[in-house]
Amino acid sequence: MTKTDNAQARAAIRAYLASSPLAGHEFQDSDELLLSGLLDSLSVMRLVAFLEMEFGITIPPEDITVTNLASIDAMAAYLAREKV
Amino acid sequence: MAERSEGMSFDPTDEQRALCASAREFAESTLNAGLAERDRHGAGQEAGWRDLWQKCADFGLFGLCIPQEYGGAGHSTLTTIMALEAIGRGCADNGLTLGINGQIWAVLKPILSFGTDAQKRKYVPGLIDGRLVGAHGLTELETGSDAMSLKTTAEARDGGYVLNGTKAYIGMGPDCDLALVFASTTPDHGAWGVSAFLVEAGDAGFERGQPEEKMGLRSVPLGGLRLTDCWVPEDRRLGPVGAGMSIFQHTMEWERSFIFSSHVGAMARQLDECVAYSRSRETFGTPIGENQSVSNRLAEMRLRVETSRLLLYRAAWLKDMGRPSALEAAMAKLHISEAFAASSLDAVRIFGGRGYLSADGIERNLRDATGGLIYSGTSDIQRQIIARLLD
Repeated sequence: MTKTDNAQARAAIRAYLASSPLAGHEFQDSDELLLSGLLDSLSVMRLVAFLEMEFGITIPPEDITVTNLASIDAMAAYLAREKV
Repeated sequence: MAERSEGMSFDPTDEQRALCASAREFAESTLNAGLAERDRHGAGQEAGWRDLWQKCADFGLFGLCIPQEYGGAGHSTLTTIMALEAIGRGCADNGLTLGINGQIWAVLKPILSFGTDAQKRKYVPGLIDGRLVGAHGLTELETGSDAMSLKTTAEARDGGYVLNGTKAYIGMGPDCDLALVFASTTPDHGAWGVSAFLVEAGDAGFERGQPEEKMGLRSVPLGGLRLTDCWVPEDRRLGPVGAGMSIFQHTMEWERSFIFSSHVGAMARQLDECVAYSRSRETFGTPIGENQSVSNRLAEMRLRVETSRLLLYRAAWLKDMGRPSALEAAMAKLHISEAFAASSLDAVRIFGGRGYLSADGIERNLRDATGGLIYSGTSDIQRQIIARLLD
C-alpha cells in the first residue's frame, strides 16, 4: 500500500464510520473504537463486511481482533500488512 | 455424491433422497426405544444416551459435513441438514438430536474453522467416531444474553494458561470429554480480551458438574463446568489470543442457522401425527379435523414446517456459497424455535386430554420446544440482531 493509498483507505473508513455506526460522534484515527465500546459486536461485523467489500479482501475470522481493528490507525496498518 | 449447490434449488437429488431415507429409517428403528424412561428419569450415562450417541456416530451423523481428510463424509451443508432433518423426522428424542446438532455446529465447526492442523487431527476423528463428546463452554451464571461479559480468566503461565472460573447451562457438560472453554486472557479488554481453549476431561482442575433437572430435553445432560487453576498447554488455545469474540460470533452463525435442523423434522412428524388423529378421532359424529378450529391449526402447523424448512435450507445454501449469513441465521433461529413451540402447543390442543398426558409423548415436544426459545440466544436477542442488521 502506498502512502496515497493508505490515506485513501483511511478516508474511506472514516467516511463509512461517520455515515453509520459513529454518526454524530467526533473521532480521530487514533481513537479506540472497540475497547471504548463505540463499536459493539454487530457494528464490528458490519465494519468487517464493509472493509471486505471496499478493499476486495477476505478477512478471516481469526483476524477479527482488537489488534487489527482497534482504531482507524490499526485498520490501516492491517490493510497495509494485507498489501491492499 | 452429486450435490447441487450453485442454483438455489432445494429439490433433493437422488443421492440426497437416499441418504435422508436411510437416516430416517435408522432413527425410527434405533433411537426411540426407552425414550419415555429417559425423559422421566433425566440424563446420565446410566440412562443409555451414550449408547445411542455411539450408534449415531457409527451411522456417520457427526461426520456428515466434515472434510474427508479428517474422517468425515465431506457432504455440503445443505445435504447435511437434510439428513439431520430426516433424523428428527424419525427420532422423537429431541434432546438427543439437539445434542447431536450441538456437537456438529458448536464444537466440530469451530475446531475446523479455527484449529491448527494438529488440533484437528487430535480431536476431530474422536468427535465424529463417538469416542469424544464435546461441550461448548461459554455461558456463565451471570452472563446470559451478555455472553461475552464472562468472568472466567486464563492467565499465561509456564508455557500455557491457567484457567479459573465456572460455566453454567452447558449442554453435554456433565459428561463431556472435551470442552471448548471461553476465558478472558486480557480482562481490561472486555469482550475483545476473550480467547478460546480446548480443555480435556482429564485435565487437573477441571470438574464437570452434575446434570441439572430441567423442564424438557431431559434425555441428554446439561450442567456446569468448574475450572480451578486448570493449566492447559499453549497448543490448546483455539485461534489467536483475543479471537474469542470472533470465534463466538462465527460459531453462533453456524449454530443459530442449523441447530434446529432435526427439530424441523420433528415438526413434520408432529404434523403427520396430528393429521392422522384429526381424521380418526370423532366427536359429535364427525372427525375433529372437519371442525374449522382444528383444520386452521393444521394449516398453521403445515405453514410453520414449510417456512422453517425454507429458512433452514436458505441458510445452508448461503453457507455452501460462502456468503455471509448472520441475518439469515438469526431469522432461522427465531422462526424455527418459535414455530416448534407454537406447533407443539397446537398439537396438545388437537389431542386434547390425551395430548396433556405423558403416555403418548405429545406434551414432551412442548416441554422440549420451550428450551429453544432460550438457548443459542433468546428470541428477543434474535429480534435485536435482525433489526440491527436491516439495511
